[in-house]
This record gives sequence, C-alpha cells and structure tokens, in this order.
Amino acid sequence: MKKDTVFEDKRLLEAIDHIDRKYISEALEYYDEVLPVVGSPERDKRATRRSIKYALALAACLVLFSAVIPVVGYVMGRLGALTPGGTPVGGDSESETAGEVIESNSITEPDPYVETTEMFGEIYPVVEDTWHLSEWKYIPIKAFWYYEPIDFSPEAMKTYVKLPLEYEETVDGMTIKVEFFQDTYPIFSYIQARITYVNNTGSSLRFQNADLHTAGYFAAGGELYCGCYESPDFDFITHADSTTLVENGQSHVVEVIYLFTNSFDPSKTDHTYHIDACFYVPDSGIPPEVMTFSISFPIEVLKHE
Amino acid sequence: MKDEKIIELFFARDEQAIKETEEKYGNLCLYIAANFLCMREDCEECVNDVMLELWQSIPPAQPSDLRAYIAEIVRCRAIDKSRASNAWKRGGNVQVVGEEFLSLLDDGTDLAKDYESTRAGQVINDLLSSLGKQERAVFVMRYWMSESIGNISARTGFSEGKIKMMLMRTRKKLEERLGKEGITV
Repeated sequence: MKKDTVFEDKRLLEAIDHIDRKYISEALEYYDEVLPVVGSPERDKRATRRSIKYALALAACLVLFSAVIPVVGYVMGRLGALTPGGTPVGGDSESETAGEVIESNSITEPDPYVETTEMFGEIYPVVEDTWHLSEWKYIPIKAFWYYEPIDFSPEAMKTYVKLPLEYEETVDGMTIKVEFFQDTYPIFSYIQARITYVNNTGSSLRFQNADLHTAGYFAAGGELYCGCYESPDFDFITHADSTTLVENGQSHVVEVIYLFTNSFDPSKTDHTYHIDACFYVPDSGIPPEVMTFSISFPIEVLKHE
Repeated sequence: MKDEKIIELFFARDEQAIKETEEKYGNLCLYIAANFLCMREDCEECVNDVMLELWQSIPPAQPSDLRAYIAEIVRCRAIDKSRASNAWKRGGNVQVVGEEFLSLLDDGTDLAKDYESTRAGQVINDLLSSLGKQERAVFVMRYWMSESIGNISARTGFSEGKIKMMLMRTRKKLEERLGKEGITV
C-alpha cells in the first residue's frame, strides 16, 4: 500500500526547482495554443470543445469498427473452415500432453495454426479466439492496430501469451482477485480482466481507478506500443474509473482491457503484468489521501518455431 | 516575432522588446502565475515584475530558450508573491502542492538540506530523462507548474484517471531511485 506522500517531503519540493530547463521547455509545448486570459471561462469552453472533438472521433471509430466486424468475421470464418475442428478441451491426459509441449517452447510443426488446433482441441469461434487449457489461457497475439491492415496469417498467429485463468493476492487487507476472459471483439488481440477487490482494510475506501499494464512501454521510448494505455483514443477501455464507495467487508468489481498492437515485441516487453488500483480515503482532506494497491505477476510469451 | 529577434531587441536596449515579449508570452505568463496566485491583479503585477526582471537580466543573460526562461522567472516570482501575500494559506489557486509547500515556508533551510535537495534534483532529472516525453511533460506540468489534473487533461487529451495513474507510477519510480541514492523521504 502506497500513500501519495512523495511530494510531502520539502526537500523534494525544493528539488523540483532544479528540473532541467529542457524538460520545462518540452512541457511548454503543450501550451503552444493561444492561452486564454486568466479568469476567463474560455478555459472551460476549450475543455468542452476538446471533449466534443474526442466524442466525435470516438463515434467515427465505432462506426468504422461496426463496418469492419462483419467483413473480418467472414474472413475469419473462412479461415476457421479451413482448419480441422478438434475435440473440445477435456481429459487430463490431453491437458498434460499439451501442457508439456507448450512449456518446453518447442513446437516445431510447420503450421502452428493447425498444430494448435489439434493439440488444444476446439478452436473457439472467431469471436473467442482463445485457448483454454487446464488452469492456463493462451491468447494469440495478432498484429493489429486500428489504422493498419489486420494480419491473420499463420505467421502472425505464432505468438501467444500464456496467462493464469485466475490470480489472487491480498495486499494490506485488500484482496485482489483477477479473472482473465475474452469477450466478443474479434478484430484485435487483447487481454480482458475482471478484477474483484475485497476490502478488508478496516476502512471504507472510495474506488478511483484501476488498470492493467506492463512496464515494457517505457523501455523503447514510446515505440513499444504494447497496450493502449498510452493512447488517448482507447483510454476508455483501458481504465476502470468510478467513485464508488467500497465499505469495509464489501467487494467491488471492475474490468480492464490490455490491447496488443502491431508494435508488441515479445523480446522487449517486460513480461510482468501489473495491476494498480487507486482508492481515495474519504473525508481525508483536500486533496484526499490516496491509497494504491498494486500486484504483479509474470506472464509467459510463447513463440512457435 | 522570433525569440532570437526579441533577444536582439533586449540587447539593443530597445523597449520594443518588452512589448513583443508581452504580446508573445503575456498570456503564458498570466496562465502560469494564476496557478500560484488567487487574484488576477496579483497575476498582472507578477507579469510586470517578470518583464522588469527580463529587462534587467538580458543582457548579460542570453537564454537559448526564451519561453522556458520566462516561465522559470514567472514561477519564481509567483511563488515569492504568493508567500508574501500568504496566499498559500488562503488556498488560492494552488491546487497541487500548496499544502506541501506550506511546510517549506515554516521551516527554512540549511546547507545540508540545500545539498540534499540539489541531489534530489539530480535524481529527478535522471528519472525524467528515462521517461517518455508524455510522462515527463505531465510530471513537469503537475509538479513544476502546479497545474490541476483537469487542466493537464485538457492540454494533453488524456483522461484524468490516466494522468493520476501516470503520476502515481512516476512518483513510485522516484521513490525507488531516491531510496537507492540514500535519500529517504
């Protein structure tokens, strides 16, 4: 549990004075637009205009997606028809066999798509392009970004992320239970997680937001676009925001999405997922005290050779 | 007018330099000052002080980035004025670190503390150099310019939740780096 205390130390406040001018200059680039006069309601108007602009952009994206989905569904349907439909995931022996192969990272068959179909049983319909096996979940990382062509080639389906179906950890009285699942979006690869917070901290807390991320996007100076966290266009599906009051003993459920893009690079990405959630301490002053609960766990990226 | 030309006017002791600076950066100055001061009159007075200080400091100073140079002076003068008028304690428009700055006012500093804060400043700069441009800008806007989360959101287009999360992560990294340097907070 971390409180928002770093900048309460006065040495750090003085240290802020030493920030290099080049970083100040960089931040001031956001102020290139004509600035409204102080005290003018223009600031609010500008924010409103910006919101409208983003709402329109979002609406345009949704229209685009809804137009693309039937086409993609058809293409994927055709692809699915070309692959042998295996048996549903079932007995232990099947699971163990497949598990051994996967964990050795040594699948060598020429067509990984077909191979995967045979090994893991039924490939889910296009809308649930995910493999369940025992307690693990395999999600193919398809190259996709909303303004670039979708690559459904077997080559693009070679890389998988292996996740636990469930993960649970208790941090300072807050139990965080994560369930990974995939819903109905067929056109991009993503990880969706349902996070249940059970508050046994002894205090009522106001949930603020949560997200799922890797640390990898810091590694390549912005090039590594693994996940939509940095994209304002997809911000709405990445975070879970609310101001729900979670009483002591009660639970709160949120859902977050981690979107893979065509810049996802398994060799660069930090293979640890982090789930952070901020809770306000009600009536603790202005600004209110913030408690952050963080858990981390490794994922595995499998590359078929 | 380009910054180089404005600086040339300052060097030529041409009062047109002030007019051009006000025209180009007056609103920016008012905007930054308003993050620290409550009253519009105080902000305008602060900007006048800044113009005078620019006139007195250029030359000999020859800033390579005039905008950032002006922003630094505005911030300093606004904080001075805010301290003088005790605006911090009235709340004012200091939405970010006002309460924390109060502790600065109460205690004063000594050489050891100055040294520590300089070291911490180096750590902060090192951290900033390792961050992406967006994270860095959000950090500076929040903690250096004392911008509200709402205004940062409006400027960058990120949601407020995202900005809070970015700041939280950066603070966490900073705390780790400070710990490694033996600077306890």
